[in-house]
Amino acid sequence: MKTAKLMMWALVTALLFSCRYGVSVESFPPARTATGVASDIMTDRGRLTGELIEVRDSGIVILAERVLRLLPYSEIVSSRFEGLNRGVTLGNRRPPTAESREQLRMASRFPPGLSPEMLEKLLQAHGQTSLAGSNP
Amino acid sequence: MKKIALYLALLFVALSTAACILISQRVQVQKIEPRNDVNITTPVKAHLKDGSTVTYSSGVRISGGKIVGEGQMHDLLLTTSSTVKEIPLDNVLGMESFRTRVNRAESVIVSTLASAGVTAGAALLAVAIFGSCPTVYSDDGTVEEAELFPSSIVPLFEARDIDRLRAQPDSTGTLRLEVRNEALETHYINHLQVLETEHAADEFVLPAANGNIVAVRDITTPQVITDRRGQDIRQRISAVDESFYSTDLRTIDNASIADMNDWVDFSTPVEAGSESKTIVFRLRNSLLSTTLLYEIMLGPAGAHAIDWLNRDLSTISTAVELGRWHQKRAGLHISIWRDGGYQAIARIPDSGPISWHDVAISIPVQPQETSLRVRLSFLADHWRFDRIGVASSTRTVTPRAVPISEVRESNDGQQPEGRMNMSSPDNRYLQTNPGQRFFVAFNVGSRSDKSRTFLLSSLGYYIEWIRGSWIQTASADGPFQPTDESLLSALNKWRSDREAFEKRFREARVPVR
Repeated sequence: MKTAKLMMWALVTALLFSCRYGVSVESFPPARTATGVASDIMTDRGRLTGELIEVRDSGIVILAERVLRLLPYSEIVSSRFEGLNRGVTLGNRRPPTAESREQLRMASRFPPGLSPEMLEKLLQAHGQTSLAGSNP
Repeated sequence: MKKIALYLALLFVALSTAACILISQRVQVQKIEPRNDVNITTPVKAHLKDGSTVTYSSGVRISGGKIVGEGQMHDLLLTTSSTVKEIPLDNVLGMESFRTRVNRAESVIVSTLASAGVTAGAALLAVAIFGSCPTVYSDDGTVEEAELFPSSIVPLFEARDIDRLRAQPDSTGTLRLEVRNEALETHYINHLQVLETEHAADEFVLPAANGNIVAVRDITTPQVITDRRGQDIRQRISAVDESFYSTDLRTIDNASIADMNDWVDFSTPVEAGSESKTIVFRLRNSLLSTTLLYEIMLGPAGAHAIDWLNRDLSTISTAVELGRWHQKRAGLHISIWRDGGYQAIARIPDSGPISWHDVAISIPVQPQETSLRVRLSFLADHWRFDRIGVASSTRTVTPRAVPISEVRESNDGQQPEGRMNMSSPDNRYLQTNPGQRFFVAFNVGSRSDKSRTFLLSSLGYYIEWIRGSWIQTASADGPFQPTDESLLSALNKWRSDREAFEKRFREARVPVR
């Protein structure tokens, strides 16, 4: 019994002094700010990096280099979303699984989706009349 | 007395073990149903009907039909923000909370690796200094062909690499290569394919820095070619042989923050009517970049290096910052003397320290130019040049892409999954660990009537293993910062240990099984 207690004490000490790595809520911008998760998307036409704005049934809306773009799932070769679990995947020109889509949606800037009025205001603010495509 | 000794021994064991326990963590985002009588203590975000977003860094309490807590409200365009204390639930479209979760499986694996590193001690890790991406061999492992994507040290740096191969197909028309992991790294290979080119017998085919494949003829060495100290280096760079150019030690000794470069100068005549001139290189990096990676970027940071690789370099802005610094400092910078000064016109990225790499650059010629005065500048001792030549003619070649036909493991077992993972550029990867290798075959067919050159096109990245000894002897307060001071520090370390480091590097590859 005594040995078990001592072992437990040693384990707790070891865990207290252990090193942590990876992402925590303190270092995950979407948890502290109003922005969506940073994303790095490879399409057939090139690479785009920017903020995930909205997740739709047909694709995702991102803000890359101050341009709002709608990237259809059929054009996304591979992607990375910083800080999200590696199980959250989007690529192979296919829509994400329901689970990945839900995680992406919640990490986007507008998880409930953009209403037409909200989208219009955002487009106006970026000098656009409609969403651009994937052509960089 | 015995009891105190036992406690002290346990404390020692606990603290020693702690040095090896690494806890992997991730963020979990969860939807919150906006209903009464809920207390949340982790960060929360509320999305309002008008498009505004409220962030609560310390959580919220929901009661009386309101969200209560100190939050920051941001408008739709994120241009203004103000503090709020209460929000009626009626205004809320949705809410989410953020929690840090421990990835138990990854923690156990990484801790085991670190512990194994500490336990095995210097005996294993002192020899395992070979650090540089997947290596490719032909002819039953006797011919070093290429090293793949050497600068891609994290997923965001994943890049395509094209290497000229010496290998030719066997009598059945199959080109066979062996890909090894000979370093303490995990390799993630996304895509492999061979590019087949057909050409005249007197043409030499190689990749160009702009991504094209070119066929050149009659490569000649510039008549006069000198290094920064004005020394003639023609003999050393005129042929593909054992002799090569490396920076004079006195140039390294004189390096300072303000000036860390060496350069090579030469001129070449321009024929009337020429629109461009092609320079051909056979080169490789020195181990200076390996010294920088091990002794400056990762080693002193110890456990912080895990965070830097896993978290910071997953942050796009941090990766971009490092990428810009690397682009500015590393690589081979080609300039032409025009209008009274050298003008930068091209850059050849790093190609790794193991295999010689053939690469061409095409320099556009201006109508009135009769000769080009060329300067190749680079961080002192960062490059080894086996050949620098100028081609008399160049044409762009359109290659035929040949996919992988077969992947086999060391034990000769077929690996259909490996072939599938590397068959196209997507989010599937073949992963290898130190000491692993595989054999890959390409059905390129037999041709006896044409000369053919094959190139290997690869896409992927690799992750360095953080050595247990680095964690134990960490001396820096935080992760690596890309500065010129750190580069000079690497150069000084490299200068003091150059020959010995090169010898250890060659001898210390992780044996494959």
